[in-house]
Amino acid sequence: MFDLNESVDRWRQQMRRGGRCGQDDIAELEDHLREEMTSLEKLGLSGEEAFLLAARRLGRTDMLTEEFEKINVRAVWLSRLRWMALGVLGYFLWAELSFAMYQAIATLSAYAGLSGYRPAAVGLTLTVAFSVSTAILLYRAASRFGLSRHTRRWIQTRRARIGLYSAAVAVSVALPAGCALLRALCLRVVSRSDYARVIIASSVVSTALSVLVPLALAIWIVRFSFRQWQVGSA
Amino acid sequence: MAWSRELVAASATPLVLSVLSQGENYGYGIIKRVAELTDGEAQWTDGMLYPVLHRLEKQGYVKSEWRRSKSSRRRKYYRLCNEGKQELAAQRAKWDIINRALMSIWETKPCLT
Repeated sequence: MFDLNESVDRWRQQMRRGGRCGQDDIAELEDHLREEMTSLEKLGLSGEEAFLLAARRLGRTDMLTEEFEKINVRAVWLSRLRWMALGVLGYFLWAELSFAMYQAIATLSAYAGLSGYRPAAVGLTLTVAFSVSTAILLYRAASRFGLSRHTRRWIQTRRARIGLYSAAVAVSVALPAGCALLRALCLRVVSRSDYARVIIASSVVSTALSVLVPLALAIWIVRFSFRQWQVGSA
Repeated sequence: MAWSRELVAASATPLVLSVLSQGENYGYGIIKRVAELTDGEAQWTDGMLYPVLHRLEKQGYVKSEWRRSKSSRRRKYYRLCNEGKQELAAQRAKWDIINRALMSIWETKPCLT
């Protein structure tokens, strides 16, 4: 069964992709789409036929967003910068949190009687497994659901902003304090030489990551722009 | 008949400015008016009109305003500014030259003697 609102929602989502069109741009095009559908339905077309034809006449969404990007250059780059900043912040937060988790696991396993490189190995394995699975889950959730219209609107309210800022301040106070506490606890439970091993293992991994992550990102960007280029020239 | 991108891009500005010189209008109305004027032969991709309108607004030739339509949907109306009227006059002078040139060539009868 054809659901008009669902189809229009999907069309709107396609227009929103890449952040090249503003909310008002999309609202204006949607008004056009609905007006065209009304006049097509008056000619005797079914709802589904009218939607398909009206959307086709409006033009392919990728070509439309490309045209809009040329006009919204400033807004598009601002939103990209915002996402980049968010990515960098997220990376730092993740690095800090995973290091805390790693130390906690190493401490626990030392407490359970492991020694030598074993606390470090257990900590690393569990932390990496946890990080990878959370990343996959988050990615899947984001690509399947995205931010709903409700969430988008909520983020823009003043109360949400105050909440987010105070959460950020709370985290930036609680996180270093928690990490310092953990480190003190770690030093008390794990022997000095084993703690040195914990630090060595973590620095090896973080150095490897600081090479691998930018490399993976660079490869992804190159492949992505190559695919864009192929689509553009086809 | 498919129109090249360049032709659509070049003709869109004078067409849109001319339609708006007859009074304010919104995107869908402008498209319908252009289709009427060209007997439906100008094959624009409908959506491409909007980037043109937004560019004209950035250049200061038209002004826009969101209002409620009769069906109570939010609708963006455009109207021509004074700068737009001047631009239309300038465009018209240029298009007149092209138009006259083409017409005089196409109307020349082949010389038989």
